[in-house]
Amino acid sequence: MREDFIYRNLEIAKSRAEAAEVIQVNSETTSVQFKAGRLATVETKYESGVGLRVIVDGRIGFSSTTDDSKAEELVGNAVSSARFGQAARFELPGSVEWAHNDKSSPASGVDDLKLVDEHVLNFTLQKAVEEGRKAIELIKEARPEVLTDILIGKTRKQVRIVNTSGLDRSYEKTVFRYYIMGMVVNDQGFLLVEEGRTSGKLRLETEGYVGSLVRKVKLADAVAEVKTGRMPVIFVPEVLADLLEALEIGTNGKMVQKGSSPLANRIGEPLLDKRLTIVDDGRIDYGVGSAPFDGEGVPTGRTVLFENGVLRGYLFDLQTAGIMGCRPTGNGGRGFDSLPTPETTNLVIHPDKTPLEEMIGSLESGLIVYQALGGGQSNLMAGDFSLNVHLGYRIEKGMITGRVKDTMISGNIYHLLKDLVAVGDRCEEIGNLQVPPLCLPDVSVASGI
Amino acid sequence: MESILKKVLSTVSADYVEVRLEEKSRTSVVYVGKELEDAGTKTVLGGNVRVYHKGGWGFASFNDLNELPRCARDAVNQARLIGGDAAGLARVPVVHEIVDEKVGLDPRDVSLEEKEELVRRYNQIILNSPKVQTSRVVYRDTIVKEVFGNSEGCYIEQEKVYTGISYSAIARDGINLQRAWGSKGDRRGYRVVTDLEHEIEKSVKDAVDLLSAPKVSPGQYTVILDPELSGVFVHEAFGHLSEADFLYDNPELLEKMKPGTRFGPDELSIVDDGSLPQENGYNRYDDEGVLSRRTYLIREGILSGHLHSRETAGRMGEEPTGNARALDYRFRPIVRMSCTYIEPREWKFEEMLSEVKDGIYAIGVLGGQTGLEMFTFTAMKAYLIKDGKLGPMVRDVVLSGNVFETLMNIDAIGDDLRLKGGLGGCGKQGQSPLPVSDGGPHIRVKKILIG
Repeated sequence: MREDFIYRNLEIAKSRAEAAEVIQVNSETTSVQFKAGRLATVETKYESGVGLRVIVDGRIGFSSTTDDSKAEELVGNAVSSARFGQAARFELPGSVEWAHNDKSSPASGVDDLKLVDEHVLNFTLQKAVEEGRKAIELIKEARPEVLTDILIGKTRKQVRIVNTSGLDRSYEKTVFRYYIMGMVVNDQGFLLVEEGRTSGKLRLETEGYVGSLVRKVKLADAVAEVKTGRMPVIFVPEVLADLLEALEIGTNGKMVQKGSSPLANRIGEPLLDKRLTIVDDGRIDYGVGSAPFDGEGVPTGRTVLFENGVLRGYLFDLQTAGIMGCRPTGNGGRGFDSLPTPETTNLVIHPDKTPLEEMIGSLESGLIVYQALGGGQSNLMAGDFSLNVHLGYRIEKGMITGRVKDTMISGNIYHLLKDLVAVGDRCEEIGNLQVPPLCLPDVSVASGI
Repeated sequence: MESILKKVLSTVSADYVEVRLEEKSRTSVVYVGKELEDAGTKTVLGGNVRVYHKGGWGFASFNDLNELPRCARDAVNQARLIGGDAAGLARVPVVHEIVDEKVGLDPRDVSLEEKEELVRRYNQIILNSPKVQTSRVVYRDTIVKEVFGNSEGCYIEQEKVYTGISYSAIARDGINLQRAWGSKGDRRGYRVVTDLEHEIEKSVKDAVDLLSAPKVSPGQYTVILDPELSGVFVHEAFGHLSEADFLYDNPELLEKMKPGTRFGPDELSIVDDGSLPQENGYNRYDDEGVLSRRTYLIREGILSGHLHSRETAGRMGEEPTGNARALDYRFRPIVRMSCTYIEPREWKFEEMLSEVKDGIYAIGVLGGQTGLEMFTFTAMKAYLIKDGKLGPMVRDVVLSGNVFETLMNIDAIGDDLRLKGGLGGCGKQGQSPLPVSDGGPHIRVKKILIG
């Protein structure tokens, strides 16, 4: 996409709209994939596109394209969609929001944020192939029956926003993905174990991933039974996304505005366990969800959602904040092809003091869950979850005694997070989550055996 | 277009090369609560080059047509980097065809004003109910123009016109929030989204009724699935495991998924058929230029076929089935389902119901997911069954099963097959939502775990 396309669009739009904003996103992703221990695919993806938001007669219009021969058509589509658009309840951010000299300014400190890891940029396809082969060998040595799939990939992404309030800012970031999937098929059925991380940094932790994978395969050698009933369940960071989605929905300013969040009108109420402090933080160095500004040019920040269990805030984009009469929080999430909507940047749960081993050791009878099926299928809006334990183990008398299968766990997040058994002492980076393991009391467990 | 493709194909050399160009234009109208959140048209232009050489794939995708020659070189170099075995692709006829879409009322002939008016009217039906907190109504039409050519001389242009709508009502009573929804969508044109007032009113009533429905108690149940849910059940429970890319390089798994293995009762036949015109999962040709067809996955209880791309068919020595599909130009085609359903038998719903002493009638779909062996799928609403009669409504019915047991537990298959598309679709390896159709008649299954 040509450099000047974004400015040409703004220029054309200016003559037909009161205000306009163009977002351009370019990305380049390369990846290698191994299938069943064999290098199978090498890929490159170049993506670039622009989105144009206009305000015409006080109403919002939008369109997007990836075709840089179509500036006139893009503006035409955006302007004509404004006929139906919502009344704009905001002004596009400009020099006021980006005043740097003042410590209390929302943009303060934004230039210190680190998003590009040179090691990711310099990471070659050959190195990826080498690392994948090493992982496969290590797994083969430890457990020859495991068939291994691997994905190693990196992305370099550039985002630029220009608007008629005078904003013209851009940033670049790196993302590195490394996942190993081990599969065992035997008389007990199938076992699938996934290890790996997505990060802004080069997390090339082959030995760590393999060690963890092999340990989980070993623990699954024994099969354990569990009876239908209620018991404490440990959710490791890898599986917490399935539960925390409910809190992301609940603290989403748009859900609050529409009245479809159970957290609406409850700021200041103690709703969760005192040990839970949960923060949305867009300024973590190399965080998957980090950026200096959100999808509409508002500086990102740090928003406390729960402080020692007390509800403190919601996340907003410009329009929702405008409707609600609140301050935008820098959470207008979007790609180039959509209008902004409130979105979590990085979701952080502060650690407490219980090491995972101690959490397991303290349970007389319970489960530990690493992977689940069915996330997002239940009524998360109300906080209800119901998951099939895809990879989980039985805990008896403080020891892991074997894998459980054909088992469902269910409950209500808002109820179960009120009074936790324990909060882990260490956070793990799982995509845009930085969270410790949590042990929930009294989870409903249903067994098919 | 054909000359551009031919020129690129002539400049690179490998065992197999293909080029795809795609232009997509999507019109959406979205209401959430009282506000119109989106109304307009977006366009995407893109393409890719995919290369197969000595058992390895190289792939490069782009938005900018000027990148095509560079991507062709990238893809060849990447494929050559792999250099593995010499497995060949299954041979298929070389096709040269321009495929027209046969659509009823073309959504391009309906103005954005008219679409907005329709969505606003539907949305108002939902908001009119005093117990409803908010709503979401999404209209979408997508026009895809694809050009495909490969180094074997194949050249295909296909146009696809998808039209669909989804609507949901969120009812609220204090902190109790409940949602009911419905979705329509396929290749029949604009009429698929009109005259839905009655269905929408039913969804509103469901959402309100769910407010006072108790949670189901966890445990094992005999369950009757409605056609929509039996479609998702068969998709998750067996469809994915039929996809040969999970199988060809996994000897132990292949042993379990061998043709001739019994998976269900004699009455059970499961079909995948990509050649059903106007259905959501229809494709005349798949994304490797292979003619779509009907494949029996299970015939009379016995595993009888797998779904293939040219690579998996070649590696397993089976017939290609035309199931290599890509979400769009950004992705490689991988093995996917098209229209997957359980064939109907003789049972009437009332007969099925009358035999159940204690059970659940589960209706509509919130979602589904498979882990290959174990799978889950979620009903939108459900009723208890007591002594052959429908009882009160229950909520939060998430069903779970195991492929080696659950299909064997099907003990009644109805006579009322329905296929369903919709706005959503299937997800696999990051490619979601891919348009598919799922379906079946009412079926009854024993010992389903509900959590």
